[in-house]
Amino acid sequence: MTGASSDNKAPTHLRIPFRRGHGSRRLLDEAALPEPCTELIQTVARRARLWPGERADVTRELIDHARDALAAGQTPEQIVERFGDPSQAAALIARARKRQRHPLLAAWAVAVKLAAFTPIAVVGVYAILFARFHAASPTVRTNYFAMIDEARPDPASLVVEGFLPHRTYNMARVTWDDFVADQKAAIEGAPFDEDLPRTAAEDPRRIGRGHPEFQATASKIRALRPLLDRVAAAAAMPDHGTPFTSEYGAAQAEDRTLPIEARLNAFASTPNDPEDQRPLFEVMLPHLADMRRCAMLLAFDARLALDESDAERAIGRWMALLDLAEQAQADGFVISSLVAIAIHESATQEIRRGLHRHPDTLTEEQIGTIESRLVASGPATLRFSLDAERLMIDDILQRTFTDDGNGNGRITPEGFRAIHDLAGSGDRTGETLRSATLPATATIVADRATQRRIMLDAFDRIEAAAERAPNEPSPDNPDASVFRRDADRRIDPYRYIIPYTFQPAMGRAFQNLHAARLQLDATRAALAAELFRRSIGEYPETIDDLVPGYLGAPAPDPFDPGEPLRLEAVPGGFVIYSVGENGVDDGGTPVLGNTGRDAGRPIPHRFWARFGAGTPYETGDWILFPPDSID
Amino acid sequence: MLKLLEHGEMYGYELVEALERRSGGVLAMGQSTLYPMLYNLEAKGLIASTRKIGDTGRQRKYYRLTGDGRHKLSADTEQWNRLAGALTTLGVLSPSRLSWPARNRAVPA
Repeated sequence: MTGASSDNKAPTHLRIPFRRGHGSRRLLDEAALPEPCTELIQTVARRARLWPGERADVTRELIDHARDALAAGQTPEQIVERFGDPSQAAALIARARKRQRHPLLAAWAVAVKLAAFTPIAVVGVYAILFARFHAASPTVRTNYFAMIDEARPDPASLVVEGFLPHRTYNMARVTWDDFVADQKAAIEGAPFDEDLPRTAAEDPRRIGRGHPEFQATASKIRALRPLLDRVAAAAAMPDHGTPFTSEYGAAQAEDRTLPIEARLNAFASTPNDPEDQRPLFEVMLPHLADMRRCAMLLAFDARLALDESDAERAIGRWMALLDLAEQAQADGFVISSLVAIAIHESATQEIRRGLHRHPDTLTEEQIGTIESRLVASGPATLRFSLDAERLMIDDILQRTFTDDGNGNGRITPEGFRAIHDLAGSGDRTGETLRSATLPATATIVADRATQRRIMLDAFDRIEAAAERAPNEPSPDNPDASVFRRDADRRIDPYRYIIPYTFQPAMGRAFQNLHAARLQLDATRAALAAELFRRSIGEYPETIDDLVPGYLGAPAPDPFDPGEPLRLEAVPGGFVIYSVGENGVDDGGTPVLGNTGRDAGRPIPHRFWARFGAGTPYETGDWILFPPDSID
Repeated sequence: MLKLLEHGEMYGYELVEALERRSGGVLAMGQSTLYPMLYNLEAKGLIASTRKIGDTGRQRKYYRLTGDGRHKLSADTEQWNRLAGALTTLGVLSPSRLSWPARNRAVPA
């Protein structure tokens, strides 16, 4: 049956199957079969999609088959008919021949195919991502600016002496600008004294009686009393009345070359077009700076009032400070809370200062009035409110993510742009590269609902952290209070882009809050001690002497769980202190003991050098009474 | 297919013809399925192929049983015989069908 010779001894499936040189077309041409047979074989070989060597092998075998059939007397048509469906044959042959491939060759072929296919696939996938990314756009549905304004009191109900409170603050700002300009000129012209801070021009509280400018400053402040009376009345209103939705011409107002009327008119609020959907994160809150300036002027005037034995005016100024703090807190922004806490701290500091310098000026009834107001002011003011930040996040999300109608969606090109604008910009090359990668980055970014959940959870934790005692162990980083940084992955800043970009930087805000609460408690204890002196004839020896007749309960020292704030008698008076951050009673040695300045107020590390040698920050006690020594 | 190759090597068309002829047309298959079947058997190592010049002077690819193919054929034959015996006992199969593999033993071409 078979001849002895062979042109190739190797089994067909072990030959290099994808080498060239066995063109099926050429084999068919050489075979010169009838057209139907040629077409059949060609169809099968082509549709099987085999490697060139395999295809040639199959072609050759089918040519042999056709020749044998022709030799057996079949017509070309019979051959085609008896062969069956060429497509089915191609599929079966392809499957069978692939099984015959050597595993290494098969793997190599897959690798080659992948290498060729990968760039195409990458380009294809990128094209899909690009199209999907750029098809997404956010929908602004809610005007949060207007929502906040609508929830605030009707401005018509806030008018004081023909002015809204914020217009009074505006006037104070213009006056302040003039005041500071005069102060700067005066202080810079005065003989330089290194013990007198050059910042005194912008904070009259730093101008003590020993300052060469004290008398001149006092005269200027006295001249401002009608304005300060109006500020006090404005502060007593439930809201400052600044429309958040309005423009605010602050730059023009600060231009001292303009007439006073023009500067005041710059503050005239220009309502925005209701259709103008400004993002809430553009809110300016200019009244906060004005409130702080007003607070400094009020504080200075309270000192003058006590010097003049005008207790009523001093108390009025202190109350105005507490009112200002409460009004600022009502905004609901974190920055408003920080300003409110600072103003409240200033108020209690001034009260303690007045009590220390002029212990006999206040009547017992007046002391009771102050005590009642302080009791109410703590919970109302000494807290962090992130209500507006919550709305701000919803506003940011509606401007950066799509909206599927169920509170979810995906990041959009506009969203990336907005976030980038807010987070700062980079160089142009980096910018271009970043833009090119955005469609891919968008696949990493978590969806809208997740961003919101994490952000709101962080806000809850910030508010909870503010209520914890300062030394109480917290699962959170006490500074950032948003994420556990040690658990972060490198992808997280991209994945949770909203929380990472918009987490509030609380910094030392919690410490400020704790310090302000401590000072409130110390002020109440100091008022009680003064009442004790008037009743008994001498100051108390310990804080326990005040309870319960003069103080409902001793205020706890948050740095020393279970223990109250320390009150110790000293010659001619008493000292109130907290053990401070080290949790150790250092016998009333102040944090910056050598100078005594700024005692009772923790100073950040970076400011140590400025105050010269002193007891290191961590090791001293926080002296709360008497307050700082600037006189 | 293994049975046809039991006694010698054969090429594709020859196998088709032999199958049709020896089964009296009962096992005539679409030729499009023959070659995939051969390639599968070859992939399993039950048959091997060699291309060489036959007695007609033309080159063809010849298939032959491998050692594994022989074992497989033997095992399958034995299994078939047992099954056929059981079916005969049950009266499903007539005794004459039992000897089909033996009576139709392939004759070398």
